[in-house]
Amino acid sequence: MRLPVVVAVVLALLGGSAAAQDGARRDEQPAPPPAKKPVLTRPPELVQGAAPEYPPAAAAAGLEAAVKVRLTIDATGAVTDAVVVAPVGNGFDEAAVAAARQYRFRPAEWDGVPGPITVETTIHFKLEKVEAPVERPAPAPAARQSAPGHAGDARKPVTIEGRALERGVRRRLAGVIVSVSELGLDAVTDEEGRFYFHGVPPGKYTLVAVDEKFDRFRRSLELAAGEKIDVTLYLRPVGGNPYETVVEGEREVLEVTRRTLDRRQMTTVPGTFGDPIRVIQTLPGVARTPFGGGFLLIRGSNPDDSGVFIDGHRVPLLFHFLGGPSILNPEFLERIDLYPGGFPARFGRAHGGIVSVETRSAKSDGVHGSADVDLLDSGAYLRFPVGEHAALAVAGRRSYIDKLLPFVLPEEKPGQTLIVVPIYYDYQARFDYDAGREGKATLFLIGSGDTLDVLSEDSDAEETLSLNSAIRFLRIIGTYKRPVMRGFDLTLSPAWGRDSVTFAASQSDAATAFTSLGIRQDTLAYRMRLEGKLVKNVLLDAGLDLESRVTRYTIRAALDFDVRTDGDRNEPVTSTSRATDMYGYAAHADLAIDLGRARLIPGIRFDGYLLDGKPRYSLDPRLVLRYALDDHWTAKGYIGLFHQPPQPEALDEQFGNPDLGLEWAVHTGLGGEWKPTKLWTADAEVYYIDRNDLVEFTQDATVDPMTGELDPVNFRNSRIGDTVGLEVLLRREVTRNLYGWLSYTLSRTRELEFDDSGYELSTFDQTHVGNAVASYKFNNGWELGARYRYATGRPSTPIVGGTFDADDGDFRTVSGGFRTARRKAFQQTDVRVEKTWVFDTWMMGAYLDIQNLFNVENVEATQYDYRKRESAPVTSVPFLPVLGVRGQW
Amino acid sequence: MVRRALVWLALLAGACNTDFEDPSIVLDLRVLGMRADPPEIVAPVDPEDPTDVDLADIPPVEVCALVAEPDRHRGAHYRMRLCPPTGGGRCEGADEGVDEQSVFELTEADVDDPDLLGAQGMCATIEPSADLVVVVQQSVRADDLAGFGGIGVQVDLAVTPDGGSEEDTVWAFKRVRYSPQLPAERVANTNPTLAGITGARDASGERDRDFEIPLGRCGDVTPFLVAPGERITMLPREAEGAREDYVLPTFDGGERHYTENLTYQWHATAGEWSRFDTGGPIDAVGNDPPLDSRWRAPHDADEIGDGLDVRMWIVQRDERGGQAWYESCAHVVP
Repeated sequence: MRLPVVVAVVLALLGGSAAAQDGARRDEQPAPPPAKKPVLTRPPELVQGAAPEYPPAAAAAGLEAAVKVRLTIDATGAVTDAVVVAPVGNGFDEAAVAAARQYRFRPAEWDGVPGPITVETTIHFKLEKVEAPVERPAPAPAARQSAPGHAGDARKPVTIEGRALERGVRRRLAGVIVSVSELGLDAVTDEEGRFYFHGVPPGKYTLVAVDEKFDRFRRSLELAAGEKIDVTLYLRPVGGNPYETVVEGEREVLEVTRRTLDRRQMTTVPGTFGDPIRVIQTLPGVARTPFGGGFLLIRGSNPDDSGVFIDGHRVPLLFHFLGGPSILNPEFLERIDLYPGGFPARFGRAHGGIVSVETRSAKSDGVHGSADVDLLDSGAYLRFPVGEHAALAVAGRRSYIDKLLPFVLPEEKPGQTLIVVPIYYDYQARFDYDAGREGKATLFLIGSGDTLDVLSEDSDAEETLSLNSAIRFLRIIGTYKRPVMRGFDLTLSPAWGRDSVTFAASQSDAATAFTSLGIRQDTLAYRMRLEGKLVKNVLLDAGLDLESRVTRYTIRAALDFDVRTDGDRNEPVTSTSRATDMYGYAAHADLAIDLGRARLIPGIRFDGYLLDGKPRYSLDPRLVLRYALDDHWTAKGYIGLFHQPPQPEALDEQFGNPDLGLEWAVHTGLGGEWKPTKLWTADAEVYYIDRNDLVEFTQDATVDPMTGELDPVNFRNSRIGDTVGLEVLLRREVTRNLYGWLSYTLSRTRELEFDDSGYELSTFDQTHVGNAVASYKFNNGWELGARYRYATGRPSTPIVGGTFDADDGDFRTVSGGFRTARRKAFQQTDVRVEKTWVFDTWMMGAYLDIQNLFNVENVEATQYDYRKRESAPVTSVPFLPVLGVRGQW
Repeated sequence: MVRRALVWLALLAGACNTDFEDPSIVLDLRVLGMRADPPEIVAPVDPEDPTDVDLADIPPVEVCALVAEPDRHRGAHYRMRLCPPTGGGRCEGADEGVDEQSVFELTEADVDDPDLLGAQGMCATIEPSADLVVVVQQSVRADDLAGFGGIGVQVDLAVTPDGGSEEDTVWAFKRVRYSPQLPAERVANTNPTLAGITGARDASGERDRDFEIPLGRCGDVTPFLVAPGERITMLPREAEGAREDYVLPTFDGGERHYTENLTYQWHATAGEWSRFDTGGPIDAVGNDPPLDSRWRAPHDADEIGDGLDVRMWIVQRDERGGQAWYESCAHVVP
């Protein structure tokens, strides 16, 4: 016997838009101007469903159907309108509409405020065969319908209850329809994923759980007299564990170009070892770094000219020493934004590009975690609720290369000792507190360390070495965000940080270092940000940005800076301690003004500094224009001024030049975006960056006319440079199974140093940089990804010979034209294969990530023999497979 | 700050071992040293105008080169020039952007007898002349520190073996220092000297049977005999006073006193050295670099044949341009 079972799939949102305010579909609206769009901060949630009546005639005829219904939900969560999108007839349409009108929702929220929305849902009418008919008690009258999550006669006790969880990660699933099919009872799981059936008599039943995103789940049970059963239903996502496809409302656009990676894309790009921040290096505008190093070269700027921010605060680096993994566990990442140029005024003190990392809330519906093990390191992550309103997440990682290295180092000869101990580690913790209307508070701590210890003894050579080096950093960032008047959000964020670099070298049995360097930088920062709608078509993003940075240097070395440096003399060992400080204060504001099809974004940033007591000021205006030609095409252009203070060591009174001024650059660009469908985006931009007053080292000296003393200048603002380029990005958005992109950059970066006769290519210039990335997730848990990279070789100065320096006993290089040659182009293919096994309460994944699949010999540098006649290439990573295993719960 | 340091460390970290030639083994025509006599001229000058030089205070300087040709089967053509310092050590381009001539030829000659190559020495003399004055003045003007503490004028040397092309030419250069007498007690550098070189035969890792290394060319001196693969540790014995004390001016008008370091470079036509460079200042970790180097005789029977003469050169340098060299000869007995 076949019984009709009606399945209603979970709603698919159309996406938020201002048009949703009046319940109309976005694509039926009159032609834009695309007005400013509010942000969907919370989708509607079904809290009470209603099983439609199967049309008797259709059931008798054995007919099934799927009826797509468009619902208009008001700000209270009530369905005010239900319209069939594509009628199917046979009474199904009317039955679907009748049921849909009885749905109750928790309303959608726009910018945190409940509001109306239009959504679509599909109601399936299916006929099911049941094994043994049982007596069906009459369904409880509607008046006796229970609270959300409850079904059956509320006057009777609960006899069957349970919870619906996502298999593997144990995420609580709300809005799942759970049916006792034999009784025709339907309950919709509440926020906690729980459901309750009242008054179910003893007997054998089948629970059926249905949700559009999950495979249909059936569970048989037998209820004895006087018994109450509690069950857990583990639902498997449709197609295995797809890439998450949460549809978000559009974010406000306050910049000309922003390229965003969300968490879903970050961990599976081949060749990045699951490291999201490395994925940035595959986006247009980012050049390839030598030896795959961990710094960022954005649109021709030097690494120091670009800023890296975590939750609004600048951090010194994103990667472990010399290009190791990033310092942030991927579980903490919410999104990464790359601003290659023309960035908003809230980012300052940089004239290159900006990478902004947003961390993810620790909010959790239970205890969840993950653990990673691969050939180089292991890490773990744990997240759990703390009370009703708070949550805590912690993570850590430590390498074990030091344990493996003894197996690959050359065997020691008698009388020799060689011990090399490289270690890297990082740790993070985040505490979130939700005070409801009073706002949300977060405390985030992140730290990392990289150490290298070397001990070398050779009794034959009569020379010993003990080397200890370390790079460490720590940041503590607090954030408090709350809505204030008139729809504005206020964010207050203090931060404290300490960065240190230490180096010490001595003979192996020495009690103290012979040569040592210590650099410590303490940072104290405070940011205030006010964002919201000023008037109907004007958005404001304004704030204050305060920062103090004190850098202390301690140098112990056999150096004398008071004499001419020529000849290998026995200088006395001296210790020198220096300090430089920077106090910066800034006010910034960006406005987004909607004028019909156009959006004009003027911005201004004022920076004041005290650089080692010397005041400096800058005023940086910026202007962005975006013009929507139609629904699919947008033209854009921008111009902006960006200032940056010199590096701390360049300002030192003894070793630097305290009279240095600010570096600055003008960014200009024109481009367009094409979005033919929701899934595809094409973005192209031509840009020009003009850099001035860049700091360069000099050996010049000035003579005091009174005393005749010679005073080395050390540094001056005398270098200029520019970059011209074209960037193209073709991107497929993340969907259930697939994502990918093609990026291409054509550029030229050159510089002119003081006294030089003409411009020369910069050391990192790469004419062509291309990346192709794609990843596909099969429905059986397998995933396959590939990445191809191409980059023009960096400029090099050819060496044409050597001249013997009879005074030194060494050879001087005789060069051809400065940077007139190029190294061989770089190209590499990486692949990644991953298999995921999903169990009820946890998931496990194993992956093989292969770098340089075809073992291409990529030349990073060239070594020469002692007299510059013979050469040998220094190549980058050869074929390198890395195996890893990951667990998640 | 941190990122800039990491950029350069990343670029340097890729150095790998290669099969390049050992610089201590001389396989073809090479310049191993250039000596100026005297290596430095200290002259009284007007501090207000250090380019105003009185030629009467400037003696002639003879510059000679040590050229090694292992096989001694061909002569060579050589040329020396005087010019202001250049980055690559060759006088090409030294007069670019300058109105007056500042590259002057000192000598150009042939050494026809291959047996004389290296023995005769390739020499030239820098006479106190108007040409020298021009070069000194140009050097001071081009110097970032305007000649503070003294300036080095450059003598470059190009040696082309007979029958060779421009590609076979070997290049070398030396800086001859002309310094003002500041502070007043400053005296000119002199070339270092050696009392001799002690050889010690290593037997089972222990030194015994010290002997004096004979100094002279193969054919002119009785070589010391070695067995195939035998190790000889050579230790230079410095003459008394070889490490001179000297004084330099500081930028703030003061002075610094130093004692010279002496360095040694070891060369041979066969075998291998444990250290190519010895001596010098304390290194960056506090080690006092040893002076000696251990030479291991060749042990390949084909190479040794009926007996092999191995030529050796030891070049001694101080940190102020002073230089001396010594030649020796070993005979490997099969």
